[in-house]
Amino acid sequence: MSAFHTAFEAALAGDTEALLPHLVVDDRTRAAIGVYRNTGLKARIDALEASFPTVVQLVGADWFRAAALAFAQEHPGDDPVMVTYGASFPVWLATFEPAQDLPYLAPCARLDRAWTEAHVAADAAVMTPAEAGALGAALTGLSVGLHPSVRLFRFDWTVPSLWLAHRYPEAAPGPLVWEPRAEALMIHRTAGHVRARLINPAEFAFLEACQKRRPLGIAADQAARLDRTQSIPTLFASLIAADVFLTSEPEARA
Amino acid sequence: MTVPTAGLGLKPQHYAEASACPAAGSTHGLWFEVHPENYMVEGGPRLRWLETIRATRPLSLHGVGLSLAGDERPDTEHLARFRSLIDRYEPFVVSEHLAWSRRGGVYHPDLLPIPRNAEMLSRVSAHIDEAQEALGRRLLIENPTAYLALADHQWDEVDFLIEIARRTGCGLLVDVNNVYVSAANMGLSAEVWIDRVPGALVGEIHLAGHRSDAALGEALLIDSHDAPVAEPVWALHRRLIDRIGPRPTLIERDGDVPGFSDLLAEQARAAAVLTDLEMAA
Repeated sequence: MSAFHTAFEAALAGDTEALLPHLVVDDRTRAAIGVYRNTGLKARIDALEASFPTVVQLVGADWFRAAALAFAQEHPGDDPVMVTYGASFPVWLATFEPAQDLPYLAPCARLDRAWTEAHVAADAAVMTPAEAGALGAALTGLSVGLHPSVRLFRFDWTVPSLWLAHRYPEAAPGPLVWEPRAEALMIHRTAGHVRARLINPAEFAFLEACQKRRPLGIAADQAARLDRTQSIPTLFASLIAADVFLTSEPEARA
Repeated sequence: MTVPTAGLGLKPQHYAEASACPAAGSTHGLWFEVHPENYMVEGGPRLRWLETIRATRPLSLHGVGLSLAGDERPDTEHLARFRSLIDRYEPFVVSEHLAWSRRGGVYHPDLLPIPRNAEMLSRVSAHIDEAQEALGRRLLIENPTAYLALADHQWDEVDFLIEIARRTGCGLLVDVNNVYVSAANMGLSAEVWIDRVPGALVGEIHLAGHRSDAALGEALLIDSHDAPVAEPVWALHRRLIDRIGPRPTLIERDGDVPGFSDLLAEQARAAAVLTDLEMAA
């Protein structure tokens, strides 16, 4: 441990006096220490602002940057890979006193975080309609995983609609209503773009079963039990078209 | 592959224009530089874009997270993921900073200074040795920006950098804007610095914009990267190139990022300095 590094970290944390013995002090010293203090905080706040654009839209840039400053002071981060910074911001936001009147804020932050995770998730070969067609009846016994980018959410309130209206305004599902109505959402990446859409209870049940590596036949049963009117082949075809299932061909996966 | 002349820091908002930019005239030797930390992800479009651009242009990886001047050894996990990017993208140059940013499990997203003394010299040299070994590449080390007058400097900055290079075999990345800002803040001569740095060690040059401190004005310059390269910095660049010959020169811009064509205009100006000299030679 170096005494200089220890003193410098103390100064970054607010204890300017700790660093003074290591400096030739003049009338610019305090401002110069401030440059270092601000640079680190600004980098963290900028990273949060880039990662949580929906939250920024909902509360405005000034409110957001004040909240981000409070978070950054409590959570310095441990990784130079800044895309990982703020993974715990949604949980923290739920406890942030000024956000208590905004019950949709922390859930929207969770969805922003999931968008980033989907954006940088691993690449993987997906099941094509041709592959599914060739497998035919054998599909029912097969356990196919989901693409690493897939994130599934279910809320008791209309968080997904609210989030979609801000993050994907061109695909907004309709007039914005904040109400206690259950909704489910899928966020995933296809052809290099992160997509998001509302999914119905049958789709959610089907995807959740696949995520747990249940055979497709079981996933289909669980989906059908929730909604007798849902055509399972139609549901399956639309999810294949969305590139959400991993291929079952081992050579393509390698 | 093209011989790199003047390059640009690659910004995500410019991926499409960067990959479509034709190689002609001043863009003939255009190359791009990225922070590897922005590409240490498992997959997705960022990596694809970098692959697309790397297919037609030379690429440089400029690390900000190795904390070579820290009082802890470089993080082996970080070195490993840096190495895998080097293996995948085969950069023509790999660089890092004479600075620290990581300590006790905390990452400071900044480039923090050290006093240039014997203790720091041996520590930094050991860390550079370790990093070069793990990365399988010679590193270029960038001169820092100084805001504070540290009490325990026992070495002049150029001499310190020369000694590090002698001990480790590393080269130097001369950030001319850092030279200008540091000299202004410390009351030293930027020209003397530029005239003393050994050409044989210089593998790359950085140019960037700075601004003056909101409260102190010109008495404290900030290496902000949020403005075009300033005229005195262009003059120092010309002075260095006139003496040591052309070196790959990068325009860095990280804040208030303008359109790609504005950055290309600065790139063309740097390219003109480099190629004029080639024609004169």
